[in-house]
Amino acid sequence: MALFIIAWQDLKRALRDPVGLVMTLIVPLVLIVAIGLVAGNTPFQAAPVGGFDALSYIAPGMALFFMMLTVRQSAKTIAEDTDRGVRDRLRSAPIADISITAGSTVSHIVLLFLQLLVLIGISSLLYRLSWGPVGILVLICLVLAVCASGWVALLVSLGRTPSRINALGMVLTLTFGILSRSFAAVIPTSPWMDTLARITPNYWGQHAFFSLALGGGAASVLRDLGALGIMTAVLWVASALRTRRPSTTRR
Amino acid sequence: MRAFFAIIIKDLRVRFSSPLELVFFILLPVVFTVVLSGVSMTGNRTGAQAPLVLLQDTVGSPASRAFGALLGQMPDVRVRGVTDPTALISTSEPDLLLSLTPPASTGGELPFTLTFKLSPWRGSAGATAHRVGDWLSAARTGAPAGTGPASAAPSTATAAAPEPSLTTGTLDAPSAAATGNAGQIITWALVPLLGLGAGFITERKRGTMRRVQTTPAPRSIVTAASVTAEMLGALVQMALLIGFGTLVFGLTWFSHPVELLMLSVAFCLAGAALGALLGALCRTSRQAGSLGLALAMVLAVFGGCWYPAAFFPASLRSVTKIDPAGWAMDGFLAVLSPSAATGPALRSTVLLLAFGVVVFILAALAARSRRAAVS
Repeated sequence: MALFIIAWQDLKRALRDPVGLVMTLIVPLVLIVAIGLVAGNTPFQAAPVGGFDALSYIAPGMALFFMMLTVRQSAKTIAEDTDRGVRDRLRSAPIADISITAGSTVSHIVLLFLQLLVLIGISSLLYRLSWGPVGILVLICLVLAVCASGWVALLVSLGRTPSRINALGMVLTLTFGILSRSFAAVIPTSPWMDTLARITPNYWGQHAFFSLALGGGAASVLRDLGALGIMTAVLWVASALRTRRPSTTRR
Repeated sequence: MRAFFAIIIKDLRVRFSSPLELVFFILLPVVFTVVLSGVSMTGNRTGAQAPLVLLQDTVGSPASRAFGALLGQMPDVRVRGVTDPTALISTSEPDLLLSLTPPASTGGELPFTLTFKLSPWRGSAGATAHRVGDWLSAARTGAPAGTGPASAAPSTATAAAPEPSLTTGTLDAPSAAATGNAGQIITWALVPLLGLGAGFITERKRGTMRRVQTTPAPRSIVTAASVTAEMLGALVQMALLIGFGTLVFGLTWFSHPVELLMLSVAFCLAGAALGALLGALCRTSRQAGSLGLALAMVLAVFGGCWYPAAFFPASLRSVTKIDPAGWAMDGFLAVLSPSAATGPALRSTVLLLAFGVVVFILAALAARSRRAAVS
C-alpha cells in the first residue's frame, strides 16, 4: 500500500510541474509537428504514400529522445530528494526500504509510459500515422518505459549528485539520440555506429515502432522487446551492484 | 576595468572547472557536426558509396517506371527496386535513404499523388530532391522538366508524364557539410547562451550576487562581465567548430572574415540577451535552464539549423524569417557561399544586433521591476 501512495505522490508532483510538462510534452510535440511539415506531411491528412511514412520513424525518434530527457530529470529528482534528506525522513517512517524505491520506480515508469503514449498518440492523430494493433503499440511503450527506469537507476548510481546526474544525463541523451538517429531516419552512419546504437533503448524502440508501422505485427517486434527486456535486467543489476558498493553508498 | 576582466576570467574558470563541460563545449558538437553533415571523412561519396534509395513501384505504369529511371540517373544516389517495404529495415546498408512508394490505388496511370520522401537533410541528396521535384512539377503542369519551382513537397501529377530527363544546371546551394556545420555551430552556442539566465538566478538565490555587490564593482559591471564571459565562451566554441569545418570539410569560412566576425558577435549578443531575459522573467534556475534548452532547440529547428530551411513549406519559412537562429543561419550560409555578396550576412548582423539590443533593454526593465517588487 505504501508503495502505491509513494508512487501516486511522486507522480502528482511530476504532473504538477509546469516546466517539466513543457519539456516532457510541449517541446517534443512542437518539434514533431515542425519535422512533420518539413518531411512533407500535412496535419490531419494521411500521407499519400502507400507503405511508408518518414514520420513513422521520426515521431518515435523524437519521443524517445525526449524520453531520455525525462530519464535525466527523474534521476536528478531522486538525487535532489536524497540530498535534501527526504529519503532518510521516509526511512524513519514505518515503511520498508523496498517500498520507497519501488514506489519511486513505479511513478517514473508511469510517467515515462504516459509521455510515450501521449507523444506517439498525438503525433499519430495529427498526421494520421498508422501503427497497426494498438495493443502492441501500448506494449512497446510499456516495455520502453520499464527499460528507461533502468537507465534512471543507473544514472542515479553513477552520478550521485544532482549536477553530475544532470550533465551525465544530457551526454547520454544526446549520444543516444545521435547514435540511434532519433532526429531523422536518414542520417548516414557507419556500421560501428549502428552496432554501438544497440546499447540504446532508442534503437530498439525505434526499430519496434518502425516494424509495426510497416505492418510487421507482433512477431516483428518480439526481438526488439526481448532486447529491451535484457537491457532492463542488465541495467537494474548493474545499478544495484554499484549502489551496494561501500565506497559509493551515500551516508 | 580590472574588476570587469577579473570577473570574466573567474566566470570562465568556474564554467570549465568540470571536465564534463568540455564534452558539451567541443566533443559532442564535433560528433554531431560530423554525423549530421553526412559527409564521409574520406571525401565525397560516389558510386558504391552513394546513399541508397529503396523504390517500391507498386504502380508499374510508364509514368512510375519513368520516375524510377529518372531517379536512377541521379549521380548522388543509388536506387534499388524492392517489392517489400520491410526491406528497409532488414537491409544492412549503413546509408539508407527513405523508400519511395507510388500508391497503387490510382490504377497505374497518372494522375497520381506522390510524396517525395527523400530526405532534405543532405545537400547532395537535396539536389536530387530538387531535380525530381522539378520533374514532378513538370508532369503536373506539362512544362519542360527543370523549369518548374524546385520542390520536395508532395506533387500531384495531372498530365501525361514527360520523358524523364536529367536537369544538368548547377545548384548554388549550400552543401550538407556547410548546412550541418553552420547549423550545429548555432545550436551548440545557443544552448549555453540561453542558459545564462539560469546562472543569474542561481546567483540570486544563493546570495552570491549580493555578496559580489559588496565589492567596489558596480552592479552593471558585474552583470556585463558575466554576459561577456558567456559570449566569449560561445565565440571560442564557434571558432573551434569553424576551424573544424575548415580543416575537415574544406569549407570556405574565411572568405569574408570581417563579416563572419561581426555576425558571430551579433549572434552571441542576441543569444545572451535572450538568456538574460529568461533570467529576469523566470523564478527558478530550473525554469530558466529548461526553458532555455527548449527555446534553443525550437529556435534551431525553425531556424533551419537541423533541416535546411529551403525544404520547409511556405508556412514554416515565414517562421524562419522572425527567428534569430534563422537570421544567423542565413548569414553564416551567405558567408560560406563563394558567389554570395556580403549583403545577406550584413543584413543578418544588423537584425541580430537590433534584436540583441531590444531584448537586453527588455531584460534590464524586467530585472529592475523584479528588484523593485522584492524591495
